[in-house]
Amino acid sequence: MLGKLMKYEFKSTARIFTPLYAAMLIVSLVNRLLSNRPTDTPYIISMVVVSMLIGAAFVITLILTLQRFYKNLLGSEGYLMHTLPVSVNQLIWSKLLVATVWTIVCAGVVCLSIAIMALSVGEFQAFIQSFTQIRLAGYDEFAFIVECIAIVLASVMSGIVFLYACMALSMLFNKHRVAVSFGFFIVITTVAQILMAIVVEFAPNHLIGNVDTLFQNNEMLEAHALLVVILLIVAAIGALFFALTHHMLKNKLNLQ
Amino acid sequence: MTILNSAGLTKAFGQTIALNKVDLNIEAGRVIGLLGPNGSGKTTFLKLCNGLLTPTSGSVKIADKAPGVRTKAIVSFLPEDNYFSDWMKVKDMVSFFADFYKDFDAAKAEDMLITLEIDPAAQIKSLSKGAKEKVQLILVMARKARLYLLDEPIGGVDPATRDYILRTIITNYNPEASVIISTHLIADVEQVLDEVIFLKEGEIVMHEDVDTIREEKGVSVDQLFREVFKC
Amino acid sequence: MAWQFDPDRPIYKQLKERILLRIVSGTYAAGAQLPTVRDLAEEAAVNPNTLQKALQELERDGLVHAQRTSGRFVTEDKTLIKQAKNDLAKEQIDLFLKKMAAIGYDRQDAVVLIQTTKEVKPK
Repeated sequence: MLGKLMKYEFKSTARIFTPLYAAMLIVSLVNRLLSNRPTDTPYIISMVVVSMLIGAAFVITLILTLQRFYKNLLGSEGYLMHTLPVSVNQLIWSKLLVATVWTIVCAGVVCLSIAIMALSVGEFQAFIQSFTQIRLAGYDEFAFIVECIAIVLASVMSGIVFLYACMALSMLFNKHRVAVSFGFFIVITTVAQILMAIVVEFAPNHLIGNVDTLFQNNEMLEAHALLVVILLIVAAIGALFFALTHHMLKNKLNLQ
Repeated sequence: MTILNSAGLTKAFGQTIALNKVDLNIEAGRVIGLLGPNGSGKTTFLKLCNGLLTPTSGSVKIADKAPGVRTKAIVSFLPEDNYFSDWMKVKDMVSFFADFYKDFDAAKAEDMLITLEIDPAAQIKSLSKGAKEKVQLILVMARKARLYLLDEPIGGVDPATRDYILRTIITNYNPEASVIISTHLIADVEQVLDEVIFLKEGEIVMHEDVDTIREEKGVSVDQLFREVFKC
Repeated sequence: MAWQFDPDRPIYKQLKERILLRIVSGTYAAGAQLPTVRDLAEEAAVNPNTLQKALQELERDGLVHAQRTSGRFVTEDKTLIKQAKNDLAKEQIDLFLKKMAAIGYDRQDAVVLIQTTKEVKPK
């Protein structure tokens, strides 16, 4: 069932994302082709367009992710989705996973756009090669990469599910739900920042480590442990918001 | 066998009590009319049956299970408003239903689309309101469910379609399935119903066989309704 | 076309009457198979359970009988059908005479009127 939900999720969202990202890459290419004469109007125009597209890409990805969740699960389509023989977990995961994929694709497309425009062929090759050359002592390098990727993924997913939770919470109200969602976003973010400040203020110094310092001192075990702790904290926060979203959709569903 | 059972089912929205201690037993193979004025709790009841709302107190069970994934597989719900995505074509929705519901009969759905003259390749967004309702109804009735919950199925369509809908309900009849029709167009559906439930301000004020009402009270359900709910 | 029913009498009774009419008038011949419940319910646009009830009453009266796998059949007993036909006709006569009495004509008057009223030939 989860697979089927994701299939339809991709179908619905690809209609907008694919042309968007394709447009970005095409304009980057055009920009690149025109770059031999940097002071020409067409080049400048396409430069401007690319910059706009890059900024727009992230914003649009975010907005579409939010809109997709809101419209499909909290709007009139909810009458269809919530009566399907699927669990609430599956509904949330299908959206979360697909949104995460698009976010990563977006980041990838942006990087590619920049690379297309900014780098000469030689530089481009060097850029790709540099990925294969991050070197640390063998085992550590692998673990380090895995930990970083995991933290990035967990952060993206936690961020998205946090936004889902804000929207799901808006069902507590009958009107102005978009504004209420935004309200919850502000409130929770503010509370989180206050909590963070308190933690940092009162926590002992050595817990707020610095991965670089640890690397410098060759305290590899501590570095990995720190990264794992960060990963767990991010994942726990994500789990919290997931549970909140789940509770709202399962027990407090209020479709208009 | 009992297909639906509710015990003390109550739903409150803040201070408003939409459903108040509803006790109900519905056997399989029955066509039930859920009748009442707007705001009497009909839609609330149907939503509780398919898990779109959770009870404030009391319970409702479909084939002995609380509303959840397993009951959703055997309940076919027709809400009052459209629930379509903008971008899908009619045939996309048919595939969607076929994908998620094991009891969906795609061939039957396609036949019904032909009979009602709806082009499967049409974009749902471009259909008229009446056509959208027909599509939604076809999708719901093409399932071989155990319980059909129809919320105002004939309100927004023309009389010919109304007849078609009622005929479909009759020919779909299956002794192991029941249909609950929530409506206020009673005269049109009366001869299709086995039993009627009158819902007034969230409470059941009558639950009786149609023919028993006619036999004992000498009036049609439509006339009785007008008396009971006189303004 | 859906069958129309009087609103103040049970539907199953009216269904029974309609089917009985078809039997006595020969539309459903003696010994012939009746349409299935599903088909008849669809034609009449009524609930199949209500139709079943009507058919069961006809079974009880002996005018219809059920073969387990093949469905329902009209009785072959032509005497019984004739009897039902006469009973139906008598009901109509009673009703007619009551109406004539309400107008002010007694039985004799009614009979004379019938004999002298020109028959309207169906076109």
